[in-house]
Amino acid sequence: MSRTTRASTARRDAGLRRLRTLNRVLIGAAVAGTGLLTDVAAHAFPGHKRPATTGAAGARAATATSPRESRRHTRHRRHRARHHARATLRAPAHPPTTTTHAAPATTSAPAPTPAVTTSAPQPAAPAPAPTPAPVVSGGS
Amino acid sequence: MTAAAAHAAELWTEAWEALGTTVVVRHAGAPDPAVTAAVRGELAAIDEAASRFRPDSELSRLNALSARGGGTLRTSPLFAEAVRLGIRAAVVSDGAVDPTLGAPLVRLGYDRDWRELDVIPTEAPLGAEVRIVVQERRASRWPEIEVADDPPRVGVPGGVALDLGATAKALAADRAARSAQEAAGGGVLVALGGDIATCGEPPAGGWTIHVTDDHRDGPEAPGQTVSIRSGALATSSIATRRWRHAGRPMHHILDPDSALPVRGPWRTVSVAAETCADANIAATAAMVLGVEAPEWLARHRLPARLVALDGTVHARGDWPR
Repeated sequence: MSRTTRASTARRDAGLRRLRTLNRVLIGAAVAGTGLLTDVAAHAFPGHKRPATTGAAGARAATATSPRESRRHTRHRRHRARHHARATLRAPAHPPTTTTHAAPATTSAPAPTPAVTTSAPQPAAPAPAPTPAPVVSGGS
Repeated sequence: MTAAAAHAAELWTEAWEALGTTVVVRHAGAPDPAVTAAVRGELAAIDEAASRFRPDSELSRLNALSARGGGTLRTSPLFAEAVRLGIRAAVVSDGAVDPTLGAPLVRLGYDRDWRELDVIPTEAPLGAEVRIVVQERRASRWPEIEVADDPPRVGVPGGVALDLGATAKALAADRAARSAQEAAGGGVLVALGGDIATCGEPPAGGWTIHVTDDHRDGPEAPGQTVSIRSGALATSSIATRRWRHAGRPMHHILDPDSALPVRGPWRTVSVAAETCADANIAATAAMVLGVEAPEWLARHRLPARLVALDGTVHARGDWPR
């Protein structure tokens, strides 16, 4: 191959490489530009706030006709609804604790025999206030 | 309406009948008419909004609208809140607690105050209900209900009758406890049968509560006495609010899939939660979910006490053993 032909081929290859690089840059710029424009548009046109609603508005599916379809539709609607509302129950800050409830005494226990002591008599401690009966939580 | 009051230790307790159950208000210090008025006000408001047995209630008007083909009703903020809570109960329980069981309850004979029905006493044995055979599955329609604010309104399709019985009562307990606490300035407990809400500083040792099958049986009935320092506690049971219809025993907790009374394996479930509404939802859901209930309660990290039909007690989560 002559020197002139090799030089011509080298120039052609160099030109193709430049074109490939340019293509890559243009494609990258187009992708980035599209994302940028989308973001700008999203912020420029925020839309209008609709009144708050609860319920799966889009769940107006036709009423199921068979038990199997009914359950399938129900599951589908439940699945949709899960994404429309806060789906958690809040545990108490403090769990219940065991407590002892003594029924109101109807008879008094025998008084303990006073122990012999040499110390000075102490003032009598105040009697503990009666505990009110628990409030009842049952089926109603 | 009867009223009874007693002053024990440093806590004042007042009780009367409302919403078809027993109301108990307990707070520190001397009797305070403002506290009583606050509670009565909240109970009257929820009765006017969500009673199924008052033709002038918003619930009755909404159900009438649904019977005529559906539509949207302008409502009070309270009623919108009650319906929204009913929907939330269905969402968090995956449909186990369904606010659209009004029509099935009427079909089963529960069309008036349950004390006017052919009542079955609490002590009567359970078990006949399990022979009911489910022949047809019911489609849930609660996702079709829409609640909106500003102005408050509720939209229903045709053929859907709401019953907010359980959740509305729990909501009333939460609201009454808050209102009473504002009036009292100190800690308050409000109990509506099984639904107990507290607000404010508890007494030393906490609020003592006895959980049992029927709240009317009193603190000496078989059960467990616990103490809570805050939050709420609710109990659901199929041993109470039972009646006979067409020769069959019925109770008020229905399985939404079959629209028939749930069949066990639990007779009574008590749950503690941050609010009475959440505790009530969880207790009712557990009754409906049956054998799946312990796992479901654990997922929500709720302390619970489940009593099986044979009386076996199962404590779950942080519930005291």
